[in-house]
Amino acid sequence: MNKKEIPEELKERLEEFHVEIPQIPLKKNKLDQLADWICKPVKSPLEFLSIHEKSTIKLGLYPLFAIFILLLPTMFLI
Amino acid sequence: MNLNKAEQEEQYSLEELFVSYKTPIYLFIYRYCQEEQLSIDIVQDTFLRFHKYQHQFDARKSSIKTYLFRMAYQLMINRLNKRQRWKKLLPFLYQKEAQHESMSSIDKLTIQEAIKQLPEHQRAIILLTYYHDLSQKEIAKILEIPIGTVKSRLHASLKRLKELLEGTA
Repeated sequence: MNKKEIPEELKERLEEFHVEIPQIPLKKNKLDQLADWICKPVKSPLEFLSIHEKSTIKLGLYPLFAIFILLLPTMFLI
Repeated sequence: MNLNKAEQEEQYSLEELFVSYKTPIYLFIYRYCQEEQLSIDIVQDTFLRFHKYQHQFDARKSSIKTYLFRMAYQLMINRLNKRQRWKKLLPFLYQKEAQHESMSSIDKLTIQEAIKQLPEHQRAIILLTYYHDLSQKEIAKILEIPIGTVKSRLHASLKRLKELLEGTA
């Protein structure tokens, strides 16, 4: 099927979709580029820890592991 | 005729391409998402991206029009998907849009609203077929789907659009 085979009544309705074309510069201005940079979604910082919704156990274990590491030097002092 | 890279780059100067294709690409993107600023951004990003990856374009594989349309479509889909993710994270920011959709369904649909209500995978096909007069082979390349899928989706989208406009959906 191509454009010619589309029923006439549907073509008439499709013709009703008019679009006004604005001025589009080739290059974005600096402000737009800054706005794009600010709004650009960034990679989640938690991804490197592989933390997602189901890994709540990991969330609990990481602080305990950190505390253990921090306490290691004190063990040698005793 | 095989063109070497230097000839190819010379042939497709960015400014000339922009003048020739900014309007059809804008029309396609605007009719798909119906947002002026997003459509302008996508048109600009398409040509910036083309400028960056121009060396990857192979004239033997696709026409420049197909290549640019595919680039624009991918950029738009990525942007809409990112927005969808934000919508899931912060749904309260998008409540107004949802209310507008439910209100508009009471009245008789305009062609703009009917197209917006088409499933995304059907919308692009009907726009490219009717407004851009592209062949099914070209559409398949732009959307990166088999020709058979283009045919079946076009058939389904026309049926769905007719139902929406007649109010029988």
